[in-house]
Formats: sequence, structure tokens, C-alpha cells
Amino acid sequence: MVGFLARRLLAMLALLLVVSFITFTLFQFGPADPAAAACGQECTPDRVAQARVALGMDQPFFAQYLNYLSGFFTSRQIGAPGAETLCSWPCLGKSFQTNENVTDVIMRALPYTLSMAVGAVLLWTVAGVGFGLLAALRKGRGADKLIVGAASVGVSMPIPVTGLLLLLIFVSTLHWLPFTSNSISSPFGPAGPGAWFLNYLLPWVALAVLFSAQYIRVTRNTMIETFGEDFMRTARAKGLDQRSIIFRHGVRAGITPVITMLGLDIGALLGGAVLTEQIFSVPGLGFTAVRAAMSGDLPVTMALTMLAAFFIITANVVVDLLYAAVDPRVRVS
Amino acid sequence: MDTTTPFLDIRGLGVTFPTDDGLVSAVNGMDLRLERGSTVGIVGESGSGKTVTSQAIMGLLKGTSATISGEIRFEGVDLVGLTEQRMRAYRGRRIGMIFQDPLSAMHPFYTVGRQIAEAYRVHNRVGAKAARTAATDMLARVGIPDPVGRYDAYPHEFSGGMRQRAMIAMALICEPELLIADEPTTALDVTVQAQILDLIASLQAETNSAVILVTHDLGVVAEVCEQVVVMYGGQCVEQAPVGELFADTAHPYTRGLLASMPSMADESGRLTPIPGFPPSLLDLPAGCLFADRCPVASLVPGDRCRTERPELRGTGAHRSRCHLDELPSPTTIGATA
Amino acid sequence: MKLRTTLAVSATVVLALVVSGCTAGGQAPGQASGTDPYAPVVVKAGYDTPGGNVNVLMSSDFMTLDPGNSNYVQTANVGQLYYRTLTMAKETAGQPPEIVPDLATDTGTPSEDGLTWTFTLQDGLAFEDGSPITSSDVKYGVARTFARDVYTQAPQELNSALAADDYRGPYAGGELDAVETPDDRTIVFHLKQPFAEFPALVSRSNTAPVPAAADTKLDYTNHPVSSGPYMIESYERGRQLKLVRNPNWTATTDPNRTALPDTFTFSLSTSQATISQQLLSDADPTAITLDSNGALQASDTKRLSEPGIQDRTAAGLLGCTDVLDINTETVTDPDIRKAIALAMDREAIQVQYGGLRFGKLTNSYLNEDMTGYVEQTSDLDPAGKPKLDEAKALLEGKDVPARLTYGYSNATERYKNVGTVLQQNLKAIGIDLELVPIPAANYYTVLASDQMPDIARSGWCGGADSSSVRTTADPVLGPSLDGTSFGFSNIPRYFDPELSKQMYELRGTLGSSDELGTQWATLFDEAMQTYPIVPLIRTFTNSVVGSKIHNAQMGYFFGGIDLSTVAVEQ
Repeated sequence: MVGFLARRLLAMLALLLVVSFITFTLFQFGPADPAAAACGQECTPDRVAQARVALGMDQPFFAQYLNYLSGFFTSRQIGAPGAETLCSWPCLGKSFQTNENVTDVIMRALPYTLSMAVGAVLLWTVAGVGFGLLAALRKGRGADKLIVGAASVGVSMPIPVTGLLLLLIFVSTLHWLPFTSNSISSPFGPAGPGAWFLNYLLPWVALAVLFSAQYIRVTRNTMIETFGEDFMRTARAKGLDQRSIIFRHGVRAGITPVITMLGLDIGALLGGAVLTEQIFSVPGLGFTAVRAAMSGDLPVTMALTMLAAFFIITANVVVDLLYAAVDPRVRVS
Repeated sequence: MDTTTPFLDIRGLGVTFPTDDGLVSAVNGMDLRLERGSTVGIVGESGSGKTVTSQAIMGLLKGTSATISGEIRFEGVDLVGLTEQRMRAYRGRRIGMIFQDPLSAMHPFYTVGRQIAEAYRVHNRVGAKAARTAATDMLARVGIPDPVGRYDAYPHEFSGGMRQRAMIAMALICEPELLIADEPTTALDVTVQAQILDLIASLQAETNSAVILVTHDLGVVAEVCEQVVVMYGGQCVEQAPVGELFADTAHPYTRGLLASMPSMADESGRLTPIPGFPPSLLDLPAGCLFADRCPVASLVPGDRCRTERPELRGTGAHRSRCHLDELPSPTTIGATA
Repeated sequence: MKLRTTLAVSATVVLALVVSGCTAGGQAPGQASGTDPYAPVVVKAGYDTPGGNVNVLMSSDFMTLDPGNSNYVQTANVGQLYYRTLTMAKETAGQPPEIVPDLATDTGTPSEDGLTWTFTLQDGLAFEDGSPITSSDVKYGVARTFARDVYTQAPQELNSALAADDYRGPYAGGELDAVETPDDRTIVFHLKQPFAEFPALVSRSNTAPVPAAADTKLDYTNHPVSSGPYMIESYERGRQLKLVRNPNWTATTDPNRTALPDTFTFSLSTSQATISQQLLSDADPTAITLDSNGALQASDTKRLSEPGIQDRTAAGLLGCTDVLDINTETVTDPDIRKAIALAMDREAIQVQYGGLRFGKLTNSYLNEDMTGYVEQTSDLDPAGKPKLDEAKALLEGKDVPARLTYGYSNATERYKNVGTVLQQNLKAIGIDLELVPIPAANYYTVLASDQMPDIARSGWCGGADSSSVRTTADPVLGPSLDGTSFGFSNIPRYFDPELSKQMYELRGTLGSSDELGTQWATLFDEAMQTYPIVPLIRTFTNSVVGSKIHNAQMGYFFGGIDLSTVAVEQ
């Protein structure tokens, strides 16, 4: 197990290094020039050159990259010669736009994304697995057909459509829910958990509509398959009650594909649900990433790309560990 | 014998499944009688309805799309009419079941011991510790070495034979009065097969339970059973005490089966398979279900084999379903040993 | 069936949102008919009771609060509260700001040759810590803005007028000889050429005093030292900025800022939808916003005429005008350029800008409020309708290009839509228009390079002095610094040997802003007859404020509520 973890950790670091290098390179040679973006409308060649110095982009490519990487290990000085400012560890650079430490930018955005992910994942897992299981149990009957039908509608509802619909109905028309407030980033803030809940309810629902549809399908299919397994017949032959048969034997065995999906989805969601955050104006990681990419803010984009990669890779490792925890057959090999 | 309530009495059992192609009649008027402590073998090809019959006894067809007719009387109680809830009290507790492939029949994610203990706790109000002890004892009884240590092993960590022993332990931990063993040795090595059959036999002797051994292997039947039921097309075509079945085979299908047994191979070592295929269960013929493959159907005058379904007839314990078998059999071998 | 109904419903809703966004702009602004729909509206003017907190809702943090690194109108607006400059561009809704003395006793004294300007600081000026504001603090502030390799957004209008081409800021060594401080209250600027609008140049944030000892370089944005009526109490990046009264500010030295509220709180990441919703519903009666267009969503526009909202809506024309530039190097024939201009359906383009509510159709970059303005002539339809027959007549017998390109900033849907309108318009005169996306971040750099497409949109907000003709006419169509080519921000790449030469000579000419303005306006009008530029829309902005907000006027330069005069009821 230790060897497994160590191997995965090393692979993860290597992958992050590759991701950082690719992002860095893309930015360096991409169509948008951050230096030109930095100096606005009257960007004479002279000013672009000076902006390049200000952004540290006058250095050779590899020097810039290594300099960037050094921030992971130590504080560093950023800025033109004679006018450096300190970027304390862990230093992911300073925003080209606001000169703010990127670490601070991320730490500010992270709670929003976490808030959104927590509720959405909970909602869609409960709804997806619940309805999927129900459909599997009622296979071929009315409830099954209704659930499968609803799921196929849900899966074809893109976030912008669901999001706008929800906003239009519950916020603009019925006034049941408030507009999302950006002052609420966590349930522990001054507004309290109630306001937090109401604030994130619509994004949760929008995400859940889309995601639970996939979870319904996967849960239903794997559960139907599982219910046909021999060990389910054994469980019945033992005289177990329906609930133990379904949950202790059926769900336990059929849940693994759902765990895999969940792990990867959580990883991707933490990287930033770009569309959802845009629609509901939640200033999380995805929202920040779009702004940064649009304005050519290399350090912020770099950091968010690597963070997203980190989440996805971590999710993969966690899924592998969970697999081993759930399925003893995996443990041996 | 007819005056006392039989231990297990199956009469006119019929099982049909709706499919996209129509109604499949898996079992068509199955009859079987079994006394306490006796062993009966049900033999037949795949699709002959032997497994469906055993599942019907266990009540495993409840809640499925299957339609069941007829009676399955267990100590006088008709199991067909029981609710799922009431049936649970029989499953595991009074009727135990062993399945063909122990690897797939055991839950892959739970330890063997835990699965056995679970079977015990369903019907016994005991704590985890007592259940563990009972399960460990049972593992020892079925001949698993180091039962305490193996308790925490997973099914995939067992060998095939050990798994089947564990499966037997699971089925017998509540000491059921009836054990249904559905092809218990099919998935096993030949050497292990005998050990498992011996185990079943010795445990049966210890607990005086009745055993239904479902198999396609007449050799196995010859080894452990007192009585044999031969199934074809969802019907019992012949029922007899073991010795008599081999000595005085009444039904042409049984003869065909016997002829296809490895020990009955001709000098060239070739098996003599019965030509043709079993009848379509979607559209049963009006006459004898075996008529199409029967080498002697033409001997029956008036084409009766194709127009009239024969009754299960005979004297005493040896009965068969054949028009040729008009003459009463002289056999008088008793039903029980 | 179920699926189909649901989809149909959602499609209808989305359509409805889009449609309401379009039609909402179709109605004229809320004023009574017969009067000018673009007349400025000040909300509850004439209030003079101090006290209270103004809650400023913003959808994002300020790019910077550092006066030396700010080219942003939002920063300039809030900057009025915590920094002062030698002169000040005093806002009046709907009109170009007036240049008035601020730190200085007057708007400066030019030398005979116009190459030296002298300012004297008022007596008794102090920073937030009580230390006196001296002329060297002002000079240090100016010096910082030369460090363009540190402050990429440092405003350069003043710097480029000073005789200091080789100076690279205080961190690179060297001395800024172009600015002299003979004593603590006197500051002298040396210019390359006479510049009549120089008092406007020193109203920019370059002249905000910065104590050299407090210069934390790029981190100065976190706490710029106050010289104005308010100072920063707390600043949490991306969340909240709180301004409180500066005890060392004296009202007697500062007649321009009413400074009535006790405090200002800026909520820095409220979503635009929330802002507009809160303002429209008056959820917080002390709230205003600095977001562009008052954070109004297209679908909110129709509500602006509701009685409870109309009297809380400040409105006014801004100095900003959007135009379409035609590349005079690739479309060389003035007749073809004119035909293209006449073929444009500017009315349809106005719809893309949100309709009448968000902009006034204009036929010129210049407007009558500018000093020295002379009537501009144009054959464009004032109502924006295309003149296809005239366009076609102009093209007869010409070698009309079969294909032209239109470049647009890829981050804004509107500019792509403008291209789609143009595509249809030009098709009518037989020209295929190809739409070419340009990365938003580099948009103006591309336009200033030889990658400039045949047609592209640009905007101009009046330049260093939005009351002056020159600071629009010269950058937009003027020649390069040496007079031999087109200037850097001359996007149509317009260069006429005769006219451009006259513009070049006008730059060094001594004279009043009024006299020179007239000459610039005349030259500009003449150049415009060759249609290097097709004027489109002059921005009109509405901003709803809370019901307890008073004296809310739309800043002509800021594009938002002028913070120097706003007040709040307690």
C-alpha cells in the first residue's frame, strides 16, 4: 500500500510538472500577448517591451519557468529590477491584472467552489443513486420508465438552460429564492448556514439535474446487472429480508462504477464548474479561471490549471484507494 | 404411507415465464414426493426444468415474472401460496440450498466467515460473537482446515472445493430439514466431486435432513441417491428408486440418458447422444414431449404418442410417463430404505 | 412527448430572455416626450447634510488603487476620495468635466513660450498621517509613472508632454529634470511643445502626491497614502474596501469635494445580476454601483421607466464614442470608404448596443460641448438608416474589392453581432465581409499593427481632456510624432500629406484651447470627408441608486456615479 501510494504520488508530481510546462508554453507562444494586454489601448512597442519587463517576460523562457517553479519551494521577489516585491511561499506568482498574490486569489475563490461542489455532489449522488436504484427495482414498470425518461431529459439539459430556467422561475418570477450573493462563501460565515443553503440551492439543483441523470443511468444499469448475480440469489436463499438483500448485498456490490464516476466528477467539479459559476455568478475557481484566461493573466491561469489537474489526479488516486477498500479482490493485486 | 402427511409433496407444479417471444413453460405438471431424511436426485438435460423446480421450492421465483401453478406442500403447508415475508422463515432455516458455482454464488466483497455467520444470524437471535463461533464450528464441520483463520478470508482466496464446502456450511448452518443441492459438483474437479458428495451424505446422516440433488449426471445420482426423478421438458418422465431405474429402465428418454453416460460408452469410447433437440418450451406439442426424439414412438399404435400426452403411471415407487409402458410393471421396490 | 415539451418550454424561455433583451432597448429613455431623451438626470440634487455610509456594489475588485498605475475610470472615480491632484476634472453630468484647481492654487501659469508650467500648492495640505504635502511628494508621484516596467498601466498623457523622454522612473536611477521643485510649494513642468490643455494633463492621477518613504511599489495598491477627504480603513482584496474620513483633510482647501458621507463601503464581488436586482428593488437604500451601465442587465431596461425607479435613476451621456475604422491603407479610395459608410445600417447596430437607452447615434467623434467645436458635416443619415442608392452610385465604375475583413474582439458577443449586421449591409453593395476574431487581450495592439483588418471597431473617450477637440482629433486621425506617417492610435492609418502636415504643425502652435480647438475641429471635419471613420454610438448610461442616495450624478468621464459629490440620508 505504501509503495502504491508513493508510486502514485510520484506520477502525480510528474504529471503536474508536465501540465505546468504545457500551460506555460501555451501561454508563451499563444495568440494572446499578456504584455500587450497589460498596457491597454495605447500600447506602443516601447510600452509593450516595458510591460514585458514588468511581467518578468523579458527573461529567457526556461529562466521564467524555473523561476516560477521555485515559488513552490520558497518565497521569491517579483518585479522589475529595483522595484521587486515579495511573494511569500507558496508563491504562484502575482496576478498580471491586479498584482495580487495568486495564492490569495485562489484561497479566496476556493470556498465558493467547495460550497458549490459539496451540495451539488450530495444532491446528485442521493438523487442519482436513489432514483437509479428505484428504477432498477421497478425495472420495466411505470416508475422505471418515468425515471429513465426524466433522466434522458435531464442529461440533455445543458447548465445554461437549466440555470436560466431556475433563475427565471424561482428568483425572478416567484421570488422564492434570493439572487446568489457573493458575500456568502461558506456556511460558517456571518450569514449562517441557512443563508448559505438558500444561496447555493439553485446551482446545486442545476448541476444535480445534469449529473444525477448520468448517475441514474449508471446506477440503474449496474444494479439490474447486480440483481441478476448469483450471490443475490444466495442472499435470498439465506432468508435475508429485502432491505439487507438490496443494500448490504446488492448496492455494496453494484456501487463501484458509481464511485469511479463520482470521484472523477468531483475532481473535475473542484477544478471549477465554469458554466455554472458563470450563470450563477459564483466567483469560484472556474469563474476566476475564465476571467484570467480572457485577460491573459498567466499566473492565475497557470495556478488554476494546475489546481484543476491536481484535483483530477487526486480524485483518480482516491478512486483507486476506494476501489481497494470496497473490493477485496483489488487489494491483492 | 398415503395416510400420513408427506414431508415434501409436489403436485402438478407448473412454472411459466412471459418472454418477448411468448410464454415459456419451464415446468409442466411436475410431481415429486419426498420423505424426511431421504435423498432424491433430479436429473435431466439443461432446460429440462430441474433448476426451476428447485427454485420454485425455495420460493425464489416469488417476485419475478414467473407464474406458478400447482402445489408444493412442505409438511402440509403449501409454499406456493406463501407470501415472501412468510417464505423467509423457511429459506435457510428449514430449507437450505447449495448452488452450482460457489464463486459467483458468494458475495465477492464479504469474508466467507461473515457470509456464513450472516446466514446463522438471520434465523438465530444471537450476537456477532456467537454467530462467529457457530460459523467457525460449521467451517470445521465441513472440513475446512484452520477454520478460525479462514473465517476472515474472501471467497476468491479459497480453492474451488473449499468454496463449495463453505457454501455447504452456509446452507446447513441452521440445520435445515431439506437441503436442495443444485449441481453442487459440476464446477469442481472430479477428485473433489466425490469428497463433496461424501460430505453432503455424512452431514445428511448427522442431521437427518432430506436432500434434493439436482444434477445432469446420473453417475452422481447412482452414488448418493435413493430415488431418482428424471425430468424432460419440464415434466417428470420417470421416477424410481435408484437401483430399479438402472436395472429396469421404463422410459425411452431415461434409456437414452443412460446410454449417453461415460460409463456406458461403447467400445469405441464414443457416447451415444440422443438424436434431436428438446421440445420448444414456447410451444409444447400436444402429445408426448419426447415423441419427436423417441426411437420407439412408432411402436405405439394410432400415433398416440403425438396426439395424447401420457400420464405418469406405475405401481408404487416406480412410475413413468410413456404410452409403451402400458403393461403394469412387476417391480415392488419400496419408496424408502 | 414529455421530452419535446420540456425542451420547447426551455427554448421559449431562452428566446424570451433574448427577445426582451432586444426590445427593451427599443423604447426611448424615460423622459417625457418632446424633451431631449439624452438630457442628464441628477438624482435628488441639492442635499448638504453630512453623515452616513454609502454602500458601493461592484462586480469585481478595483484593478488597482495605486494612482501611479491606474488607467481605469473606476479607480479614478474612487481616487477622488483618497487622493488629490494638482488640478481636478470636476464632473457635471452630461458635460465634459471642467478643469479646476485642486492641490494647486490655480490651474497653472504657462511661460511666454508655452514650454514651462508653474503650479503652487495650497497652504496647509497634509497626508492622512498629518505630515505636510510638499511639491516633492507630487514630483515623486509623477516620477513613479515613468517606471512603465513596473506600472504597466501608468497614465502617460502628462509624461509624453514633458521633456523627459529618457527618464525611466525613480527605481532605475537618474533624475526627472523636467519637473522642478524650487521650494516645498512650487512645482515647475518643462514641456517638449506648447500644450494648451496642460492643466488637464496634471488633473490625471500622475500628480497625486506619494511620499517616497511610503512607496511599497506594486504593493502600494493595498494602501495608498491619502491626501483626500477619506482614507483606507481596511482593504480585503476581492471582498471589501472601507473608506473612512481622513482627519487631516481640511475642507477649506478643497471646495470641489462635498465629502458628505462619513464612510464608503465597497462590496467588491457582488454579481452584476444581484447588483441590478438589489438596486431596482431598493433592497439597500444606501446602495449605488460603479459597474458600467449601472450593472443593468438588458432585461432590466424596461423597468427603468417605472415610477419608483425612474426617480432613482441617474443618467447622462458619456464622453465615449464607438466608431468603425476603415483601414485607409487597404481601402484606399475615399469613395469606396464613403460607399461602405453609407451602406451601413447604423440603426441595426444601435440595437446591438442595447438600443436607444444605451447609446445615442452620432455622426462625429466630436460633440458641441467641446471647447472650440465647429459644426461637423457628414452625409450619413442622422437616424442611422442606410443610403444604399447613394452608396451604389458611388461605386459605379469603381474597382470594388470583392472581399473585406472585419476584426472583432473575441470576448464580446456584441462586436461579433455588429460584424454580422455589417456582413448583410456590405453584401447589398456586392462586398463579401469576412469576420475575423482577435484575442480580446491584444485587440488594440493588433489594430495598431499592420495586422489591422479592413474594418474594425474602436472607441475613444475624449483622451486627456475630454472637453478639448485636440485630445480627440489628434490621437484619432493625427500623424506620428515626427509627422511623417500616421500616429500610433490612429487606427484607420489615415495620412494625408496636406492635412496631416497641418495637424503636425498645429501641435507646436501657441494659442488658447479655444482657438486651437477650432482649428483642430476644422481639420478633423475635412479629414472625415474621406470617411476613414464611421461614427456609431455615443454612450448613454443609466445608474439606479438607493432611495436614500442624494446628489447622484452620472460622471461624464467616469461612466458611473460621481463619488466626489454623492451623499446619503441617514
